[in-house]
Parts: sequence; C-alpha cells; structure tokens
Amino acid sequence: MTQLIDLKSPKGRFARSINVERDTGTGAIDSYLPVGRAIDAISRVGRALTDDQVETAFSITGPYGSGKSSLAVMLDALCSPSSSPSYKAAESLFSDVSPVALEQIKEARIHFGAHKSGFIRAVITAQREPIAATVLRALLRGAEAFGPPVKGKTTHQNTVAKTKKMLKSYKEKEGTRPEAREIKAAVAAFAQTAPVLLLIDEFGKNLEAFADSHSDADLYLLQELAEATRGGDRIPLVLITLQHMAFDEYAASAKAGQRREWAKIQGRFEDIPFVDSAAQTRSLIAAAFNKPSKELAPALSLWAGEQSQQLASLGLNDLAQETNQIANCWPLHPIALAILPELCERYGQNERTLFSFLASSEPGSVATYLRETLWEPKEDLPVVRLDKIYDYFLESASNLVGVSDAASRWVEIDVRIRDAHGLEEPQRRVLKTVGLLNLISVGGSIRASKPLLQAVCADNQTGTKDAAQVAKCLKQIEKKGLITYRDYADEYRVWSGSDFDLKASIEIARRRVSDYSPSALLNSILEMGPLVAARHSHKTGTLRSFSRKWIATDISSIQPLGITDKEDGLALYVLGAEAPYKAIERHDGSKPVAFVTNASPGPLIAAATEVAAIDEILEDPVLLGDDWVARRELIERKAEARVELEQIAEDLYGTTSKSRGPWAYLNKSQKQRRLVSLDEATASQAMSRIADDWYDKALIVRNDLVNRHDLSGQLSKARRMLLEGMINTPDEEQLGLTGHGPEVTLYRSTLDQFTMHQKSDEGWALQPPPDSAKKGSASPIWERLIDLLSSSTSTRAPVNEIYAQLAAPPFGLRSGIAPIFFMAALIIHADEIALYEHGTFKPRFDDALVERLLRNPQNFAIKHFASRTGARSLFLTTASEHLNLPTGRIRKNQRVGGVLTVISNLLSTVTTIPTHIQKTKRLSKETLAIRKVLLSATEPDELLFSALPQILGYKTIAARSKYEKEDIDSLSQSLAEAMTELRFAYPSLLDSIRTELSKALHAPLDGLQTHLSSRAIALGDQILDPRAKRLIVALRADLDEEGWVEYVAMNVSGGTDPKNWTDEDRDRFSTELKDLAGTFLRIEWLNADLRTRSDGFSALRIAVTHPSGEEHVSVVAIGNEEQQKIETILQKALTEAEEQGLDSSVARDALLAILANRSDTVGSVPTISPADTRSTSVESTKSTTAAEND
Amino acid sequence: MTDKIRHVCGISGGKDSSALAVYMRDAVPDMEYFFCDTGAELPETYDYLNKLEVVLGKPIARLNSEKGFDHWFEVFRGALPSPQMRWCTKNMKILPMEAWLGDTPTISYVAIRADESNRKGYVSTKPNIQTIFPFIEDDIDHDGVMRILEEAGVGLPDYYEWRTRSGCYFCFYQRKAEWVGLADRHPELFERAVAIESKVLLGAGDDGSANYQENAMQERAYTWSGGESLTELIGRRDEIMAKHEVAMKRELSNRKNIPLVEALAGALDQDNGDESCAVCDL
Repeated sequence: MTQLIDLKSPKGRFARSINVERDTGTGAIDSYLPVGRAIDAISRVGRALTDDQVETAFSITGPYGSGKSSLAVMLDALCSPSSSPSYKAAESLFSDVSPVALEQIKEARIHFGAHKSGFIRAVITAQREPIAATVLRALLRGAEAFGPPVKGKTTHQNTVAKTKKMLKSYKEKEGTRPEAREIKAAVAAFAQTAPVLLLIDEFGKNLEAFADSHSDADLYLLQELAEATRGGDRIPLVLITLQHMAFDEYAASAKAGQRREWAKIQGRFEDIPFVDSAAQTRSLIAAAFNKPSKELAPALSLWAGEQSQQLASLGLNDLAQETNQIANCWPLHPIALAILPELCERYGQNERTLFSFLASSEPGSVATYLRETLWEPKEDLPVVRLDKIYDYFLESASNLVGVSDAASRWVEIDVRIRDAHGLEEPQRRVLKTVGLLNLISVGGSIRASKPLLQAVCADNQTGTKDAAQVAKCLKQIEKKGLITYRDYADEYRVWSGSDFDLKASIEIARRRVSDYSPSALLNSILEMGPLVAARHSHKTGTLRSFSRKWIATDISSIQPLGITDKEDGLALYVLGAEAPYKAIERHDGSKPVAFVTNASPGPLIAAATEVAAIDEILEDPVLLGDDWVARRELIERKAEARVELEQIAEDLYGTTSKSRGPWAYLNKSQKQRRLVSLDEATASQAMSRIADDWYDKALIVRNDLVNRHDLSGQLSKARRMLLEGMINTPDEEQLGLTGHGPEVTLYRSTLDQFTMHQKSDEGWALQPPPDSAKKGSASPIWERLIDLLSSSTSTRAPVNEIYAQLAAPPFGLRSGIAPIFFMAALIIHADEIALYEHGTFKPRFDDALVERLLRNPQNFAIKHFASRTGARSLFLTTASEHLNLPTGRIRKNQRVGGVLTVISNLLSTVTTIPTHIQKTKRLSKETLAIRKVLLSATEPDELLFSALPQILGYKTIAARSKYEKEDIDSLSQSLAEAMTELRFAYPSLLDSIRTELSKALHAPLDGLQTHLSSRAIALGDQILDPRAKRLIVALRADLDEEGWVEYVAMNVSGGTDPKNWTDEDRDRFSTELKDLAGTFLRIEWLNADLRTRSDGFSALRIAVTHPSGEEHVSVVAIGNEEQQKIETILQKALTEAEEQGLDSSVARDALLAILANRSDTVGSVPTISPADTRSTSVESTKSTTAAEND
Repeated sequence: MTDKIRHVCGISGGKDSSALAVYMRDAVPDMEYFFCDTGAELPETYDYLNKLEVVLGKPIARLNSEKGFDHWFEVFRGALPSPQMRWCTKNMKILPMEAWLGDTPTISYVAIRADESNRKGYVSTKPNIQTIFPFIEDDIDHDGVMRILEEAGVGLPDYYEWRTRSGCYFCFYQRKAEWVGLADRHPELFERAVAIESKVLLGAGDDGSANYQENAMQERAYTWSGGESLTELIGRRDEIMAKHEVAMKRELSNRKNIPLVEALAGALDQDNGDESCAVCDL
C-alpha cells in the first residue's frame, strides 16, 4: 500500500496570499508558479524596457486572488542584483518555463546598465493615502535596500535624505503634500545611480483615498512620472501599479471631471489585464502538481485514456482531447477540472481558493486527500470527485453569503441536502454531485444529466460501484423527492419535495389549451415586435416597420393597417402553405400586407401549446397554492419552453428556414389583386422591398429626430420655433433662426432641403417645393396636400384627416413632419384657406395658435374659398381698393389681397373700436347691421360674399357666377362708407365732448385743455364738494389732450370712461355736465370776487329764475360800510311800506321780487341754461366759502 | 437706449396695485404700467382697468394677451393648475412679465402697504430688476390707499362687494363664500368654472366645447375648492353663507367703525385662511 502523496504531490505554491513587502526573497520565489498571463506580463515589461519610444508605465488589472502580488514578487526578484539568491531563483525558474521572457529581462538590465547591480526596487503595498506618500515610502525602501553605489554616492545619499525629509514633513503636517515635481526630481536623482522599479501593489487604495479627498494634486504626480518613462530625456524608471479594477471605477464618488482625468491618466499606462481562460486555468491546475512517480505512470495513462473516451461520449470534446492534461491533473476527476474555474470565480477568490483547494493542508483539500489515501497498484486509481469539491467549497461559499446571490443559492441547496433524512452515504454523494452541477449550471454538456452523473459518480465504492448503481441511487433519491428529473432539459435538479403533480397538470392544461386556435395562441404567447425595414429606412431616412401577426390559412378577413396605425404595414406569418391574400379587405389608405408561409407549422403549435399550458397553471392561483417549489419549477420550465418555441419559430419561418415559402406581398393595384413573391432571404430585406414599392413617393428626410411619429420635448420645441418663424419672419434668412440649435438643424433638413424657403428679388419667402421627378423630393407630397386643401370648398376638412391622408401610402409622411408642410401651405395659400379651431374661424396666425395647432390638431379644420377667379376675385380687389388695403404679394402673417385680407380688415375694425361704439345704437341702419354681422359671423366666405352684400341690398356673389361690375363697385363703396362711419364714431364722440365742455364752461375750443386746466388750478385746493372736486382734479390732470378729454368725461359721467359708455352714459354726461359746470362757474365767481376784497365782507349769491326757465345767478360781495348804508336805505323803505299799511314780510318779498325783475340788477351775470325749471321763485343763498370756514 | 432705466408698475386689478399706479403717476412720468392678462379675469377687473387707464392717462400694457388660460388649458389638455402646480402664475404672469422686461435695467414698484410690511410680494429674481416699495417708504396704509383711489375718481373695483382679491374667476385660492359670490354675480362664469373642473372648456369655439375628460386621471378628480366639487359646494350655499354672515358680524363687532371692505376681508380670512398668490393678489 502506498500513500498517494508519495506518488504525486502538489507543489505547495500559491497557498496563501502574498505581500510584496514581506514575501520578497527566495522563499516566495520558490513557491511561485509562473503561468501564461504572468509570463506574458513579464515579457511585455521586458520588451518595453528596451524600447525608448514606449512608456514603461504599466497598470496590471485583475481580480482578487489571481496572483498579481506573486507577479510583483517575481518582478522584484528579476530586478534584484544578479548575485542575489532571489534573482538566481527567479532566473532558474524562468529558464524552465519561459526562456524568452527571461532573455528579454536580461536584455533590459543590460540596456539600463543594471545587469549586475540590478534596479532600485521601490516596491510597496499602498495604503489608503495619497499617491505621493506611497511613492515616497517606496522610494525610501528601495533606496535604502540598494547596496551603496560606487559612483554618485553623495548624490544618492543626499536624495535619500531629501526623500526622508519630504516623507517626514508629509507625515507631520498632514495636508502639506510634497510637490509633484520635487518627487519627480528625487526619482530622477535616484535613477542616476540605478534604474528604478516603482511598483505599487493594491494601488486601488490610493485611488480610493483620492476619491475621498477630491483633490486632484495626486493626478499630476502620476502623470508626470508616467510621462517621464519615455522619450529622449526619459528617466530609467519602470512604473507598475496593480489593482482590481480600472482606475476610474475606483473614483465612483469623485466628480465627473476628476474621473475623466483618472481615465485619461490610465491611458498613459499600458494596461495588462490579468485574467485566464478556462484552458489556461486547467494548465495552471496541471502545473500545480509535481511530476508523478514513475510507478504511477501506467495506471495514470490507462485512467486518462478511459476518461478521455468517456468524456468524448458525453460530448465534452474539448476536454476529451487533452488526455495529457487529464493525466496531469489527477487525482482530480476531469469533470471536476471542467467546473473548477467557474466554481472558483463564482464562489471563491479565484486562484487563491483554487490553490488552497489543491495544495493547502486544510481538511478536504486535494493535498490532504493524497496524504490520507492509500493505493494498491492493482486497484483502480482513487479520484477526487465532485462530492469532495462540494464539501470543500461549501466552506468558502458560506463565507461569501450575502456578497453574492450565487453563494446564497449554494447555502439553500446545502440546507436541502443536510435536511434530507435517511440518506445513505452513496446517495448523499450522488446528491451532492447533482447539487454542485446545478450550482454551476453553465449549460451545454456539463449538466446533471444521467450519463454525466453516471460517469462522474461511478467510483467502484459500495452503492456507487458502477453506472447501474448510480442510476439506482438517482431513482431512490428522486423517489424521496430530493431531486426532480426535468425531461425537457435532460437534467436532475435538487429541490425539496413538492406534492404537486406537474406532469399530470401540464397534460390537462395542454389539452385545454389545444382548444384555442393556434394563431390566437401564438399571437398571445409569441408576440413579435415590429419588423423594421432596415435598408429602406436607412436609404429614405424614415424608419418603417411592419407589425407582425400569426394567422391561419383559412382566416376569413384581414384588416390591413390604416392611416391611424403607426406601423407601415402588416407582416403575416401564415400557419400553413397558402397565403390567404384574398381575405384582405382593402380600404382607403390601406398599408401593405406581406406573408410568409410554412406548410408544416405543427411543431410550432405544439411548442406554443406547451408554453400556454404552463402559463395556465401558473396563472391559476388555486391550482398551485403556495407551493413555491412547483411554481419555481414551472417558471423554469416555462423559460425553457419559451426558448424552444422561439427556436422553432426561427427554424420554421426565419431567414435560414428551408421549409418556409418566400416572402410575398399584395400588389398595390386595386384592380388586379395578386401576390408579388420576393426572393429576399431575410424578413427585413423583404420588408424593405415592399416599403420601396408601396411608399415610392415618400419624402427623404435626413433628420431622424423629427421624421417620426412622436417627438422628444426638445424637438417639439424646435418645431414650434420653426413654425413661429414661418408665420412671423418668413422674410428673413433662415426664418430669423440663428445659432446651432435643433430648430436650425430642423430648418435645414426640411424647408431648406426642399427648397421651400428661398430668396428672390423680393427677399426671402416661403414657396412651394419645385417640381421634381427625383425620388424623395417634396413635390408629390405638396401636390397631394394642395389637392386635399382645395377640395374642401363646401365643407371643412379636419386637419387630422389631412395629416392622415399624407401618412397613407404612397407618401407615408410622419406626423413629426406633416405640420411643417401644412403650415407652409397655409401661409403660401393664405388668401384662400381659412383655419378654424373648434369651429371658430381664426383670422390671424400667432404663436399661441401654432402651439395649439401642433399640440391638438384634432381641434382644427380648414376650408378653401376658391376666390382667385371670377366675380369673387373682382369683388375682393375692388373692396380692397375702397378700403385702402394693399394688394400684391403675401407678407409675413399679413394676408394680402384675398378673402382674409378683407375679412381681417373688417373684423379688426369692429374689434378694435371701443366698446361704446360696438354697442351704441346711434349709427346708421346699414352700419348697425354690418357691425352686427361682423361681430357674429363664423364663416368668412359667407360673410363676405353673402351676408354683407345682402345687408347693403345686393345679391350674393356665388362662386363662379356672373355679377355686374357696376354693382360690385357700388357695393364696395357702400361697404367702405359703413366701415368709415364705424372707425370715426369714437373720434366724433370725443369731438362732441369737447364742444360741450367748451360751451358749458365758457372756454374756447381752441386750447381747451390749457384754458380749463389753468382755471381749475386757479381754484386751489379748498373745494369740498366731492363731485366738483373730481371734476376739478380731472381738469387739472397732466395728460395728453385726448386722454384728458376722456378723463374729464369719465368723471363727469359718473365713473365710466367714454370708451365703455352705454348710450345712457352718453346722455348722463350732458346732463351732469350742465349741473357740474354751474357749480364750477359759481365757485369760480365766488373765488374771483373774494380774491379782490380783503376787508371784512359777506358774500351773497343771487339766483333768479324766470318763468321761462331762464336763470340769472350773481354773487354779490358787500363790504361792512356799504352794508350799513344799504341797510339804512332798506330800513327806510320797509318802514315806509309799513306806514302805507303793507305787511312787513309781504313788503320784503315784494321788494325782492321787483328788484330781481329789473334787468339791470343782474345784467352782468352770465346766463345759464335751465337746469331746473320747476321754480319761479327768487332764490337767495348765503354762500360760505372755504376761506370763511378756516 | 440700453442704459436707460425702465420704471414699471404692475397692476393686478386689486386696490393696492391700482392705488400705487395712481400714486406714482405724477412722481414718475415715464412709468410703464402693465397688467398680465390671464383672459380669465372678472369682468369687474377689466372695467376697472379701463377706468384706471383713463386716470393714468396712458395705456396699461396688457401682457400675455395671446396665451391666456384658455390657451394653456388646450395645450395642457385639461391639466388644471393647483396650489401644487401653479402653472397659471408661472405661464401667465411671471414668464410674460419677464419676457416683456427683457434684460433692460428696471425698477419695479410693488404695492406692499405700510401696514403689511411683513408680507411678501413677488420679487423677481432676475438680476436686472430692482424692486421698490413706495407705500412702505412713504408710510401709506390701508386708509391711504382708499383715499388715493377715492380722490382719483376710480374708487374700488366692483368685485370688492363680494370678493377681496383680484385674479381669475376660478382662482383656487378663492374662499368658499367667494365661490358663492361668483355663482350669484356671474352665474355664467361659475358655470364655466364648474365645467373646467371636469376638464371641459365651454364654448371653445363655434363647434362647442373643448373636452379633455379622456385625459383626466380616473382615480382622483381635481376640485378647485378643497374637499368638494363646485356643484357640491354650491349645494351647501346656505350653510356657507350663514357661516360667512356670522364671520362678518364678528368682524364688525370686534373692531368698531371699520369699512365694510375690511370686514369682508377679515370674514373671508376666517373662511379659508389667507392663503393667496403673491403675484396675483397685490
């Protein structure tokens, strides 16, 4: 009996993780196993070192445990003095595995004059610190370890001192970083002694520190050093960083700008990815073992041969061919070899785990197995099978739980296996094998199929002696409900038990589902996305696609897509040999229909039935209950069944299908309906041909952002700006759009591209696209559009429908573009097309209208006037002349020379006259009628050609009819007169106000404002009566003359301004003015008199009203002296009257009346027209002035 | 030209901004007056503006006359403004004003009164606009404002009889009693507001209404006034007005000799807080 370990042993290398600082020297080298990528990395470094034109800065990126640090140790050794043990060890190792790489390194050493003394090896493991600190530590370490140089000793020592100082000052005062150029200078100084190897392991930590600090100072050091490794004045320096991820991925939290900088700096480095292929990993495993002893050789070779055959029979041909490798990897079972790389990657730390498994002395490792297993040469070779691997890696995986989903899945499976009671050891081994294979599930041949399980589990041990026993084992554990055989995948799965009878349920569901029609089933299950006509789309700039459906050959009716559908056609997959094209129900605007057939769609229908059956079960909440195991199983089965279904669909109807018929489509002609067969192989090519044929008048637009159904927000805005430019500034170059925004691009790719905005002698203007037979030109669409517009003379055409017509074949115009053409047509034909929104005629285009038109075309409609010929045309010209409207070309949004010009003029007159004029009844009868019809009209043509003539006593001007020219002349004249009356009504009103003011306040018409306002100012601020005060304030107001008149009128009339007067307000003004003017004048008189006298006085106002209603008012101011004298005279008169026997009171009244009646008494007082004629009495008022009140 | 500073005074249709306009008339001869027209103001407001124009002796620039509420209602396909989504103020007041002002250095006169100096009016964030509060500087309070309007012959806008704030007839900041006031004074506008609440714009054109009910969110109907539709609100008319009367009485008895206008304002504030729009309500 021999211990296996005596026959073959692992090399014991790579058993643990390496630290580049700690593990230098021969010990680490001895345990190093240089494999593919390490050798590759070393030769690349060597090659670069001898080429002055290449930067010798490398970043080696690879996952954890892939042996980067070991590579670093190796590089360190290769750069050490030639006499050192580590160099010798490395040399001997490399002369075995890669003499070429070794030669390159040697050459490089000679190139730098370092063949004896080696490099200054500044090798360091980074910490979470700035790069500068790491570099300084590395330099110091390297320089101190470097033997004292022969020449330049002083410089070297000085540099060491300087470096120390820099490091010290950095450590003491954190934040004071040494400058990049100082460090670079130190590197350069060291390099004068010997070339420098600056190697930073775990460089990611520097990067993380950077990302935290958000300082970019570190960047420059790295950049400077990297740049210094090349060119004429290069520093002999090799810069190597080792990390797990690309630079910029570390800086995830850094600013975008910094990340870019990082990525840029990584560009200075030559990146060496450090990953192996599966085959390389296998070599690595093989290389991890020492050569087997000779006595093992025959048995090994026999075993490897058997394994190879077995692998071949399992379909694992790659592996089967590597008989040597199989032998070299013994005691690992070859299947183990196949799954180990994947296993290590998913559940371990890559090679570190792999090599621990191979060489460590942990329980369960291969080394332990070899040590503990005995072998008799006649026996079969003992082999490490999958169950062992399962046991070993379980430990590793449970450490990773929470980190990777895969690991938790492992634990889940392990829980099932551990919880399985009453299992015997062989069963447990098989179960673990199934579990492990389930976990890897790389697909393909390596799966838990019965043959593979038999191959890997038959181990000559009790219970699993041979394939038959393994099969028996499988049956037993399947019976226990621990594994399920999934026939569709030919695979066993470890699941905990489920009572649900999947097989039976699916069978029942299948039967149920098969009642459905196959085409309906397929349409619901295998819904196919739209099929793009790629070549056509590319050539025309319009992305066209066909929606796809499954149909039966006996379908009774096929509805082709129409103008409201987004897709450009229908691609029908026929479940049978005959394309039922006769069932197509063509209608106006129908889009193309294409067919592809297959005479035997049976397998497809079966596969669809399977998916539908599983779906049925899954969707039935009662059936499955909370049996999640069954549910999960079903979900997996459904996924598989779907894949199968898609595969079959592709096989039967796809490009390479041999059983399908050719693509064919219905010809365009309505008359002779026939199928056009295509020889295009791919569906997309066929659709392109069909689109070429059906959409042969489509526009070629080179702006795929707008040439579509739905625009982005930005493009919508650009299109709105374009349309605004079309209505507001069509006379400017580029419609006045400037810059490089999307609206300019849009302009260029549409209006400019189609020659629809051009400069002529009259300047820039919109115009129809020139006639062109060229494919993709705009003229066919334009003609169609104009046709559509001109055909709606009697009824309105909804804008939506116009768009839809253009969207139909043969134009297929996208709704992104349609409004641009539509608006161009509206503008160019502005004189004869009316636009309505919600049925209301829109005489003017403005930005707001454009915005709504683009947003809700469904609210808009158009109508055509047919007004460019005949009597209508004559009337328009004549009326324009009478109304003083310009005739000629269309300018901006002015609609000149047509119905709308005239209408717009008429309407704008009635809408801009003040409200008062819009309402007053005090206009001529015709004008009132015209005003009414203008304010209520909805149809411009009816208004102009029918309603207005009738009001003015003429007959309707029908389209294309005869009409007397004289009548047209006089009709136009009357219309113009009415409009003039309307227009001048308000100015006349103001004039009449002026006249009334002038009369009432005794002021000249000329200079009315100046005159009255100075009089109002003279009155001062003492007036208390509010109405009078308002008048005075108004008269004083410093406004322009017309505003002043309105302001005064408003205050007189009681608060409504003349523009908004009613006719009653107008009358009230006159009445109130008389009243207020009286007050005004009285106050004025009082004031004037008061101002002339300063001694004691009293003022009296005398008003005399005659029976005729005429009134005389006078203010009499009487001084004290005068009063005494007159009092004496009066007293005499009264006394005399008494003596004559008259009653004293009667005498007084009589005296007053007689006095008043004497014309000379009040002769000098101005006459005021009667405000109140009720009284014939003489009235005397004692008036107090504000001055008296003070 | 570019160096010349513009002087502008925005008029909301309310008393304070109107009084300020009158107040500044003679002080700043080249003052430009403007009014951002939502197209949905109360008729009283339009009347009042006409009067003001006469008093001011110059036109009040009507901004935004093209894109009023009806326009945006169509463009937003019936998505209504709300305190959370106040597109009304933004699209119909602030943006048109800022577009009108452009980048010329401008002094904007804002009508915050001396007795409400803690209140915030809308102050433009544009760097070229400097804001001045003349009423605060000159210590003009509520009574001062009333005096200015009285003397200029314009008085208060008529809606002050039933509502204390200017703004759209359907303003969602309206208090319940004000909604009732709208229903009483302007039944046709109330009807419009009811329709708009259900995403219908009555009489959008000769063909009838613009209806965007399809675009409405099914699960949550928007209401102008918190917690109930206008139809429901008007169904509670008596309850609302009874409450309002009580509040009015309380206001009048709490403070003696206050003008009715103030009592109304106080009573309405009790109705629904004094949440309002800093742009519209000045």
